Amino acid sequence: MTDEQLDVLIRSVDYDDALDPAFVAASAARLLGHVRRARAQDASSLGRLGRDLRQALGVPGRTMASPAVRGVSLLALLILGLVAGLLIAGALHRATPFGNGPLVVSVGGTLEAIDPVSGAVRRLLPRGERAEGVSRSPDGTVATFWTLGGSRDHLFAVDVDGGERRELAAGLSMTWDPSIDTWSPDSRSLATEVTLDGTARILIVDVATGAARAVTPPGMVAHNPLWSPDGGSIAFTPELGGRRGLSTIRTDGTDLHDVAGDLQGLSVAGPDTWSPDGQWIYFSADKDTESHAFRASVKTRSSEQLTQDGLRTYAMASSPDGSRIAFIAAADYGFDLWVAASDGTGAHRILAAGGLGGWSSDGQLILVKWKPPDDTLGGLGTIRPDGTDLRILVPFDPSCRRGWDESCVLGFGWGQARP
Amino acid sequence: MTARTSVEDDRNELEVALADDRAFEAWHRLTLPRVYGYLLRRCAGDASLAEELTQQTFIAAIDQRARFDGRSEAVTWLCGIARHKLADHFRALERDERRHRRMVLREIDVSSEARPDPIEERDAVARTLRSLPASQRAVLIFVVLDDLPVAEAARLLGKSPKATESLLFRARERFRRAYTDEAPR
Repeated sequence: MTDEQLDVLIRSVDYDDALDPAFVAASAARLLGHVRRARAQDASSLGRLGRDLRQALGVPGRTMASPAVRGVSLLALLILGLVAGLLIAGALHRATPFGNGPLVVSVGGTLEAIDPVSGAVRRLLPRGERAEGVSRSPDGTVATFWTLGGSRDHLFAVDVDGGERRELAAGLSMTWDPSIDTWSPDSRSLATEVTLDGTARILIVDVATGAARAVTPPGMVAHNPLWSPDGGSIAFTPELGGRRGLSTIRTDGTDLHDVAGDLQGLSVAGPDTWSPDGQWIYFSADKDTESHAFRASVKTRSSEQLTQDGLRTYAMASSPDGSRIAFIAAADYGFDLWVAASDGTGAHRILAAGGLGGWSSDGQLILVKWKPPDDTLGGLGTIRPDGTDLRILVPFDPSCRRGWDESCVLGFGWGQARP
Repeated sequence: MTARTSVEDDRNELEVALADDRAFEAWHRLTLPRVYGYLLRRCAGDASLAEELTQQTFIAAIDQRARFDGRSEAVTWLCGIARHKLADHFRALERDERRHRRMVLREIDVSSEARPDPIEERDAVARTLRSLPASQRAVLIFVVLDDLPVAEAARLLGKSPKATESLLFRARERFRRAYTDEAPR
């Protein structure tokens, strides 16, 4: 059964949706209590003020409040905006240069550049833009992001120092397939996975000119691009006969071949990281509840398992000097963050309840998504590879946390490959 | 039902419905079947679950009434809330499964008699969906039934897009295998 047949089968199912009259009556009776409380709240002074403020802000579909209320509200907003602007300007003025460059994050759709040293935050786009699929160039100068919706998705680039966004690959009718976009080492090109004419393909985009071309063959379903350290090849996950493997292809579309070898029925989640010498590609592969860390030798086109069978390991990242790998392993609560030597030996946990966001370019820090059981504590931050000095840069809004799940950080990039 | 009630009345549909008990009861009668029908299909025919989530949806709608701006029909907005309730439900199930280190296995009728009619096929699909782990069921419902982009499903499920894509692949694989055992013959 193909994916299309399976989808049609699931969509074809319908049920008798006749309501039980007892449920209808009980539902209405219970809801009336809520309705009456809501009515009482809205009738109070605070309720009226809230409504007037909403109207003053001009929510579509409403008539405006009285000019006096509108004027006072807008004045209050202007003052608040001025204060916030001064605070941000002051914070940016204190910022000092640093080696790893800014961390670019989309928080609830708002694209921000964060100085990991001072914590200073600068907004990169006007309010209202919803940025997803964020990545940052290795040289730290440009961020790219996607906006979704409408008849197609749009890819944009914006200078991290500020300026107007510019659209890339503007002539293509494409849908972004939400894998992680990856930059060429020279910071000139971006590789991304998009659906073109119904097929997932790897697209290379010249960030300066916006020109784009597909690198994988038209008939091949291809996911999760990852640029090689020398810039000459891209690793990706081809989907063949219901199985996902690991392949490389030259950036001119030649020399396509498998590099994972026999994985004994396991399916590749995607290439996570190359070793800096370009000899190895690290990846995780899974089947049902089984998931292991591997590395594939580009030269011999075979893979070796790096982690023990008892450890359910996922997403990996190689340190910039190639000496260590970081990865996550399933735990009683979500995942824990581990570090090991690049051959998988000496694996040890460095942080409980930690997701992996890649390494800093100087190899001194690991970006983590810390999600402890207490929803008021977690955030996107950094930790040293020895497990010390955990520092939160973007606290997670507790309202966005549901246990391990977090829904407000819509993407981030720090210039390095990340799983 | 339109967002506005009349030229003279600038209140939106929800504000009118909440203004007095009789208006609410009328609005509730009108919108309840749509929300329930939306959820029932996504709960694989589990009526009691669909009823529970429907009730949660209406309570949330009343609590969040200020967020309804009248630009769409209220029932569309309600279904959006219902989708979040559904995602919450699947995430809770997934956490429970993870905590107990087991998959949710349901009783499955493996009668060998021929089951050629559409009702039996529907039931086979429903049983197959219910046999999937919560996260896999959720991703199939959001991506296949609701036709959401993977990124949107990822947001609902609180997972990364890459993890969601991988989850979708595994869900389709598992559905395929389970349905082969369940399908009417």
